[in-house]
Amino acid sequence: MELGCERIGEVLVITPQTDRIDAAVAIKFKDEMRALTTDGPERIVLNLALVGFVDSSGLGAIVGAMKQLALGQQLELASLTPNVEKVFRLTRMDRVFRIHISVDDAIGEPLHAG
Amino acid sequence: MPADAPQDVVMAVSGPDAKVLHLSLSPTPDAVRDAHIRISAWMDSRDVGAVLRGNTEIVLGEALNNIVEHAFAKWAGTPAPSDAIRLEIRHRDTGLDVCIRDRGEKMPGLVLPTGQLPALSDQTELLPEGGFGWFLIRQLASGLVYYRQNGWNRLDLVIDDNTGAVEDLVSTA
Repeated sequence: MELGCERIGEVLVITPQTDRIDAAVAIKFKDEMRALTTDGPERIVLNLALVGFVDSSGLGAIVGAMKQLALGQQLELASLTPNVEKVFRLTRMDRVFRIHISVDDAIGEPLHAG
Repeated sequence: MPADAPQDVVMAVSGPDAKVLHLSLSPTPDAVRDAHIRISAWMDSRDVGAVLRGNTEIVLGEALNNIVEHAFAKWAGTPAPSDAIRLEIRHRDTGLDVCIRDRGEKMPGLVLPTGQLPALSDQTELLPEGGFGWFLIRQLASGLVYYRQNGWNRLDLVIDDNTGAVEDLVSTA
């Protein structure tokens, strides 16, 4: 699985280049997220614009990617497609993650706003 | 590859206007992924609406993952027959009827999991990384019936066109 990675100011934006984060790729996704986020900045935005489907294994891997961050680092999400948004909403995980409409929206919004 | 080599996913359609999809697959995550691509293509050909389509992808994803991870846990890494899981989906006017059969281990206690949503902790390190599968199935499907017969598990369920609409009503109530 290919994860696009771009540093925009103080934010690391990671963009999975796949339309599915599912059981077939969940472990690999989590491992690659660890490699990209270790020694990274405080704010990490996972851009899910290309992902049309996340199953419970993929959801677990995204939660796992957050849990393996260093103290002070934070994983936020951006650009959820409708079916992915539904999985986060039904499982109440939309309350756990800070979710942005777009990457632009995420970049323009500092972590400690106000 | 010889023409008669076993395939991971075998698909056929039947009924007037290919109303019924039949699919056989081996119990591996890659075969499940491949099956989804074929189911998506069939739903395209049937003009299945976006909400029903999305719900179906979620429900079938969870149901098939559970079969691979639990019913066939003992088979992991060993070659399994390409028809160890058989899926039939029938397109009706108001939704999809789904029948999934598999030759894996029986459901513990011969009952379906209740599908409680795992508790979400305020502490990040205690957040659940799994256990959402049956919760999602029960949110989006109805008419769930499970039984065991002649060494096969059988799960019947219905995914209705209006499930998304009902759920939205509930969530905004």
